[in-house]
Amino acid sequence: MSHLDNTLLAKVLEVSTVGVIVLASDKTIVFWNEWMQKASGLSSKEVLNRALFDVFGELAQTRIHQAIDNAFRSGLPTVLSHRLTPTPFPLVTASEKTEGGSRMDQMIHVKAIRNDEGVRYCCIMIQDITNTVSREYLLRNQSRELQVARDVAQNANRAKSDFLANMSHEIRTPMNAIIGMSHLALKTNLDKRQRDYVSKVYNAAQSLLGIVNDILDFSKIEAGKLTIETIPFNLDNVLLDVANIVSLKAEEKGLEISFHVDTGVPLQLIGDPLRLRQILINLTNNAIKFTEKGNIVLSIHLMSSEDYRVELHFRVQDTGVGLTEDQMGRLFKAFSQADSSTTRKFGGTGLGLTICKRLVEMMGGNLWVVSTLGQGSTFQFTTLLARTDTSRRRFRLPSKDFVGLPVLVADDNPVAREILQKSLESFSFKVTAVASGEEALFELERASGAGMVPFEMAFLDWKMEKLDGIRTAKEIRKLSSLAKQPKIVLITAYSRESIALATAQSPVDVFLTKPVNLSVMFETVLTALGHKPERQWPHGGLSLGRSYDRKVLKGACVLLVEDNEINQQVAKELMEDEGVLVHIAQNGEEAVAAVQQTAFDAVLMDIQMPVMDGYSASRAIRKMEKFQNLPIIAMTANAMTGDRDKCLAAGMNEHISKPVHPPTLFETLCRFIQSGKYAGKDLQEMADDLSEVRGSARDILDTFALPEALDGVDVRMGLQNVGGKRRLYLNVLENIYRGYRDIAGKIRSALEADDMTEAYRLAHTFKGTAGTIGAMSLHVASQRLESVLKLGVTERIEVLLTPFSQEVDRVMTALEPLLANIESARISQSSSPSVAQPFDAKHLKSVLLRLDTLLDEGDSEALNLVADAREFLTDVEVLQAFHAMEGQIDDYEFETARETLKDIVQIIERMDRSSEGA
Amino acid sequence: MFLLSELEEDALKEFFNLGLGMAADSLSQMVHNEVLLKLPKLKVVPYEEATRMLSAGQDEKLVAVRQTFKGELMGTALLVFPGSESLELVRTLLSEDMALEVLAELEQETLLDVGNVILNAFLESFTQMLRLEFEFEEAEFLRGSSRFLLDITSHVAVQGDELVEQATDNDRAFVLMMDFKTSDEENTQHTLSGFVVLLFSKPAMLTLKRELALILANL
Repeated sequence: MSHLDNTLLAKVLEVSTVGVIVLASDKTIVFWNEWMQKASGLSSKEVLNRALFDVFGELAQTRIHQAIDNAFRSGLPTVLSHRLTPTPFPLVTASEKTEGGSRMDQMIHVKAIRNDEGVRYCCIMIQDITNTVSREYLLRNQSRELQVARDVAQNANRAKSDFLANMSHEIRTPMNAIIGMSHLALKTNLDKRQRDYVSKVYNAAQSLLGIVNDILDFSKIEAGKLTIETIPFNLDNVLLDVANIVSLKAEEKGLEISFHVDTGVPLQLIGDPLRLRQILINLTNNAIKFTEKGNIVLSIHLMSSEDYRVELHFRVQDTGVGLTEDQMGRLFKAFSQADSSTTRKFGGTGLGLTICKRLVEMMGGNLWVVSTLGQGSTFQFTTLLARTDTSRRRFRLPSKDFVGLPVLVADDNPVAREILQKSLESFSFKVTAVASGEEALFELERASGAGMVPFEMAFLDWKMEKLDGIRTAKEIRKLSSLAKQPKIVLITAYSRESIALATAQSPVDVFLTKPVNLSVMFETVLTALGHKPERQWPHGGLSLGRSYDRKVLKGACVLLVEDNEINQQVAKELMEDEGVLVHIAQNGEEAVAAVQQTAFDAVLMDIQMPVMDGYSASRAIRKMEKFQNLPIIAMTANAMTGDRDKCLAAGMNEHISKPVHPPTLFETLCRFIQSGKYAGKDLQEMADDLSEVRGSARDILDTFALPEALDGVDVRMGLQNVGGKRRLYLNVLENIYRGYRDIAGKIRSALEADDMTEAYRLAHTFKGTAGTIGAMSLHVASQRLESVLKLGVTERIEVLLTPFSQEVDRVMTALEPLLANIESARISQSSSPSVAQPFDAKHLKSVLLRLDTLLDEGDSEALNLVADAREFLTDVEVLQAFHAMEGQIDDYEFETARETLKDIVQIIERMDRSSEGA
Repeated sequence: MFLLSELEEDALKEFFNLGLGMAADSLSQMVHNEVLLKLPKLKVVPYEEATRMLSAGQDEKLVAVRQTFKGELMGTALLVFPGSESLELVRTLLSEDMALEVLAELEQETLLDVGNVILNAFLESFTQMLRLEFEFEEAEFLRGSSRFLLDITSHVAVQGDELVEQATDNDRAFVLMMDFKTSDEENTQHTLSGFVVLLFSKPAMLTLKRELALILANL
C-alpha cells in the first residue's frame, strides 16, 4: 500500500458509493466523505472536528450510539439493520420515496479500526437500501394479495364443494320422496290413466336423478375426487344390468339391440363394475337417442391378454344420425353437444360423454368415436382389467353329449342373427342360421328327411317379416314328419310380451329377451334341455332387480333410523311389501336405545338427523360388545366423495344413497341379513308368521271407510300424498293424533325454555306432516310459524302461535271420532273369531318358552315379546291373561308374571286338547 | 483428545451466560418484546461431530451469522439455525405475520443484525475475561450445509496461515446449544433453538486453556 499516497486513498473514500464517517476516540468527526455531504446536506467543513452527537443530537442513546461505544470499548463490529434501527442517520435519498418523505433507509456498519500507532478509531459506513426496501415492500404486498386471493379461491372452492354436497342432499331428499312414492303408487290399484301419469312421474324422476348424478360426477372429476374401485365382478352381470335399463327404450323406438361378447373375453374380472355400467349405459342410451331405425350393437372384443390382465375393446355401434368431423371434435367437451340444435332436439346436459371419457381414462383406457354423417357412429373404448380366473372356458356344459348339439337360429336381422349364432357357437353348439320362418321350417324338414341328427332347439326371433316367431313355432309343432320336435326358444324384444304369450297352449318352450345375455341364455338352454344348470355367476351386488332372495327379507326385523317422515314412510312401505318388520327410530339416540331393546337383523341409518346423527349413533352402537356384528347400512342423500368412507369409518357396513333404489335396498339388506343369524331361531320363525298375521290384521285399515271430508283436512289430497294407500294414510292420521295433539303446547314450552332450535324443529317437522295428510290450512299456519321461528322474530311468534294452535285443535277434533271408530273396529276384529287367524300352537309354545326364560332372567325385553305375541292371540281368556302379564312385567313383577305365564300355558294346552278332541 | 476441565468449562459457561444476558437485554429493547437467551449446553467436540450435531442427521440447508476474530486468539464464531427456524426467529422477533417464503433480503439483513448482537455478546465475554488483544471481522450472513459452515478452510481468507496448517482432523469446535425464548404482548412464548459454534485451531485452544487456567488460579 505504500506506493499509494494518502491523498489518493482519501480520494477513493470520497467517491465511495457508501457513506463513510470516521470518528476519533472522543467521537469527533475526522472524516466525512462526499456521499455523506450529499445525503446529509452538511459539508465537511460544517461537521469536521465536531462530536457526532453534537451534529446529530437525535442519535444520542440510540443503537448507533451503543455500537460506537462497543467499537471503542471492545473493538466489536456492529451491523445495524434497517428494520431494527428505528433511529438511523437523518439522511435523504436520491430516489423519490412515495411514503415517509425521502428519508433514506439505511444499513449501517460500525467498526473499530486502529492506526499505525494502535490508536482506536471508529469507522461508520452507511448503505442506501431505500430501493431494496421499497422493492421488498412491493413484493410483500403482492404476496399478501396473492395469499388473500388464494384464500378466497380456496374458500370459494370449499364453498362450492359444500354447496354441491348440500344441493345434492336437498335435491335427493325430495327425489327420494318422488321416486319412492311413485314406485309405491304404481303398486296400488290405479286406473289406466293414473298409471300412465304416475309411471311418467317415476321415469321423469329417474332421469332427473341421472342428471343430478352427472353433475355430481362431473364436479367430483373436476375436484380430482373421483375414485375407481377394484373389485371382482362378472362382466355378464354388468351387461345384464345395461340390458335391463336400455332395452325398453330401444324397444320403444323399434330398434334392434344386440350385445355381443367375443369368445375370448373372460367374464370374471376385477375393476369398477358400477363405473363400467355407467359408461355402457351412457353410450348405449346415446346410441338409442340418436338412432331412428336400425341396429344398436354393443360388442366386446379382447385386445390383448396376459395371465392376470386383459385389455378389452368395447364398441357401441349405431345406425343413427352420425357426426361431422367438426362435431366429433367438440363432442367430449363438458357442457357441449354435437351442436346446439341437436341439443334442443335430443336434450341432455352434455356431461355424459365428458364423464365417460374421464372414467375410461381413469380405468387405463381411451374413448373415441368413429362416425360418418348420416350412417351412424361407433363409440368405442378400451380398458385394462385384471382377471380373477385364468381359465379360458366361460361356460361349462354339464355333459360332453351337448358338444356339437345341433341348434337352429332364425332371425331376419342379419346383425342379430350373426351375434346369436356366435354366442351359441361359443357354447360349443352346432348352429345353423337362417333368415326367415319359412327357411327355418325348411331346414327342420330337410334335416329330418336327410336322416341327419335332428335339431334339438330352435331359436326364433319374434318379429320376422311374413312368418313371425309365434306362427313359425305353431307351424313347427304341426310338422309331424320330424324325427324329434325341437325345444323352441322365442326371442322377444321385451319381457312384457313373454308374459302375454306364455300361455299353456303356447307352442313356445322358453322365452329369451333381447339383448340376449350369455349367462341367461346358457342357463335357459340347459333348463330347456332338462338340466338344472349350476349357477353360472355369483349373484353379487351389481345386478339390478333379481339378485336378492325374498325369503331372507321376509320376517327380517329392521330398524329404520330416519327423521324425515316421508322418507320413513317410503322406506317402511317398501320393506314391508317385502315382508320386513320395520321399526322406526326418529334419530340416532332412539336408535341406540332401540337396538338394546329389540334384536334387529339390520339397521338402516340416515346420517343427518337431529339430536344424534347417524355417525355418532353407529359409533355408539359399535361400542357395545354385542352389537359388533349388527349390520348397519347408511342411507345418505349426499353422494359426495368420502361419504362411504365416513360411514365405514363410523363402523357402518355399507352405504346406499338416496333416493333409495328399491332393488339396491333389498339386495343390500339381503347381503347383510342372514336369516336367523342374529335373532333367535324361534323368534325368527315367529316373526315370519307374525308378519303374515299382521298383514291381514292391517286389512281393517285397508277396508276401513274413509270419510270424504274431515274438517280442515283434504282427504283426497292426503291420500294422494301417500300413494293412495288408505292404510298408510290412516296410520299417518293416527300418528299425528297421538304424537302431535299437543304440538302447540310443546312449541310453547320450548319457547319458554328459550330453546328456539327445538321450537323450530318441532314446527318444521309438523309442517311436513300436516302437508302430508292434506291439512292445508294447518300446513300454511305451521309454515308461517316455522319461518318466524327460524328467523327468531320473537315478537311475531305469539301472533302466529294462536292461529296455529286453533288450526291444530280443529284438525285434532276432526280426527278424534274417526280414530275412535278405527280403534273400536280393531277391537271387534281382534275379538271376532271369524277374522282370527289360526296360529300354529307349536310356534306359540316356543315363544312362550322364550318368554319364560326372559322373565326368569328379569329381562324387560319380555315386554316386546308379549306385545308381539298378543297380536295373534284370539282367545279372550288368553288375551286377558296376557294383558295382566303385561302389567306385571311393566311393574317389574317378573315372578308374578311367570306365574301368569304358567296359567296361560295351561289355558292353551287345555284348548289344544279340546281342539284335538274335536 | 483435547479437553477442557470441568472447572474450565464452567468458567467459560459462566462468562458466556453473562454476555448472553446483556445480548438478551439489547434484543428485547430492539424488538420491544421480552427476549430470553439461555445456554443450556456447552460441548467441546471435533469437527465431524460438530457437523453431525448441527445438521441433526438432516441434509437441510442451514443459515448462519459468522464473525471471525484475529489477534492473540484466533477463531470463528458462528450462530447457526436450521433454515426455516431462522426465519421463524425473525418472524418471532419482529412479530411478523408473513408467510416464510416471502421473507428474503431484508430479513437476511435483520437476521445478520440479530446474530451480530448475540455473537458480540460471546465475543465481548472473551475480551472481558481474557487479557488478550483481539481484532474482529464484520459479521457475515451465510447459507449452506453444516459441513460448509464449519469447514475451517473456508475461513482461510480471513484466518491467515496458521489455521490452514492445522486444518486437520484435530480441528475442534465448541458447540453451544442455545435456546431463544421470546414472549409477545399476549405473553405467548416462542422457543427456538440455535447453535453457537466457536471454532478454534489447536494452538488457539491451547492459548484459551492457558488463559482459562490463569483466570481460575487468580480466583
